[in-house]
Amino acid sequence: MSGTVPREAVAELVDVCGGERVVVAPQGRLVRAMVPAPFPFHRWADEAPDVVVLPETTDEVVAVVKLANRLRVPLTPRCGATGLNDGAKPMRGGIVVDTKRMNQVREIDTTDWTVTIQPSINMLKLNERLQPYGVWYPDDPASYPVSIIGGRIGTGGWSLLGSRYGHVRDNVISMEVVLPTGQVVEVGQGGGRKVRHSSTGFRFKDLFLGHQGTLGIVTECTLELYPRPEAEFPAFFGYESFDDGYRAMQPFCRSNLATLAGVILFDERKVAYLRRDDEAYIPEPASLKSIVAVAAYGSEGEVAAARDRLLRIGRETGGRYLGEELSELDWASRHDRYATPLHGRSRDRAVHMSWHCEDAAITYSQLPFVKERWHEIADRYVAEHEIFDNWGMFFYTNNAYKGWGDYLVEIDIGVWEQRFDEASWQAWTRMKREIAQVSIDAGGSISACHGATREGEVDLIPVELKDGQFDLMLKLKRLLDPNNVMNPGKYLLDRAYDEGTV
Amino acid sequence: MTVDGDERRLPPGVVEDDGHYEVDPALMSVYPQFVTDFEVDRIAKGRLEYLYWMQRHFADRVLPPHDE
Repeated sequence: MSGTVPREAVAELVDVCGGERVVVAPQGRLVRAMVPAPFPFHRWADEAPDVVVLPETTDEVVAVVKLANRLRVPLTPRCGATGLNDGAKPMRGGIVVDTKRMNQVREIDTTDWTVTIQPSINMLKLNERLQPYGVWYPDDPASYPVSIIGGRIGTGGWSLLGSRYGHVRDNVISMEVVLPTGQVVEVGQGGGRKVRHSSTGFRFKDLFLGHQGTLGIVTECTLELYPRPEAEFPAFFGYESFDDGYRAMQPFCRSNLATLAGVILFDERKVAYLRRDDEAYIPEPASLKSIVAVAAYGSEGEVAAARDRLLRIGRETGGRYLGEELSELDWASRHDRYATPLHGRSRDRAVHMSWHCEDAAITYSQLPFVKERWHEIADRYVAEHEIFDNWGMFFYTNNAYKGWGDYLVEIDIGVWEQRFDEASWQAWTRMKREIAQVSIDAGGSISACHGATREGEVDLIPVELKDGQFDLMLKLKRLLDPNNVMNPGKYLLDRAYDEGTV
Repeated sequence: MTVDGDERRLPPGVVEDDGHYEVDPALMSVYPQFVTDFEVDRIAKGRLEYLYWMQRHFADRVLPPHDE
């Protein structure tokens, strides 16, 4: 606890939101210092906010933000906090603005096909509301049942079905944002809240997609709707080497199928890891070392045609179709990886580990290089530290509305969190930094999905965003947040306030 | 934990730690544990039910790999 919030400020927060929605009890503050990614428990008490406030309206958010700006109190926006980075984690104590009570659907427009919501509704719950209208919001992270749309906006998230339906930044049409000074702005594709494309003025919407809570708080947003899919067809194909699976990716991704929503490549280490798990699957021959999973969504006629072509491509590339049951159920499990059992091993002993994954964006040609280097790094740290375990790699289509180009590259690392101490935490951050450096060396990006704000990788943000990009971030931060109150410390943006930097 | 001065009996395998109930950590330190066929069947059915429920969020039906 940092002690950055004066007692009279807490009283003022109570005046704004009422005593029931202002939390000062330790358990309510400590839980909001955490995110699901590996966490330095040994520092937990130092990282808690001083007070948590749960607004329900834009006016309440404005009042809280103005208070923080007036008193120069750190303020961190927080939604579901299910992200695998730490945008929602305060670094300087202060106030956490937990928006989870802002969860109302404002309008379902079945004429212009939009839905307008407060930020803290979850995709699964939103789609339950939309289903009677035959429409659908297709954002599909691995945390589909638990993550929150406001957080998806804050991280600029990636969707499993992005090759068919785009990602978060493609499906948010406009937003109402409370800036760090308390000013409320509407950002979108031009003036109209429901306009999808405009050439008027600057495109401010993108500034608030992936800002990790450093530039404002989204209090309302208007989203794209799609026809609910009549049918889906998932198919899993096994290959006898990683190279065979890697080569098969291209014909699938370039299959000219508009219904193709996503393609996933599993490497041999991932297949070996999954064989530990008799619940999540893989009753297939031991000779299979790599898997390519594909899925198509759309009208029944289109998906039926896509099915025939996908099965043919699987055969022609030497793949072995792994069956209807496995394909259907394993694909269904992809929508909710947070419910997947974890199988940590430390020196061949089963231990309870938590899950971490890196999520670089890498072009197809560089995937083998990154795979080799990341495994070298991970294996070295696993050998040195019994609290880490290498759970293999996935490669997902990453390009919006098309399957070729770049891929989300994921290496999953099991972490025996309860054993963290400062020395092993520092080793962890060194591993992350080495992994991030490989992504940059390959001409890629550190993060395709989560954001790159955590210790270790964040040091390389100025390296990835070279040629003036990081300097522009600093200038924009200082322009919009002159007193550095909004999520201070995140993304190295404190540098915006160093004398002579900007 | 006491209520009105009486000691409350906790179910087997549950412990109280600083006011919070949790599964006895000792039970999670032994691997593998014996699981009955009934329990395996129950877990598997529950998982399948969940996955089919999840699938229905995304499409009205899943096409089989061949024409019916």
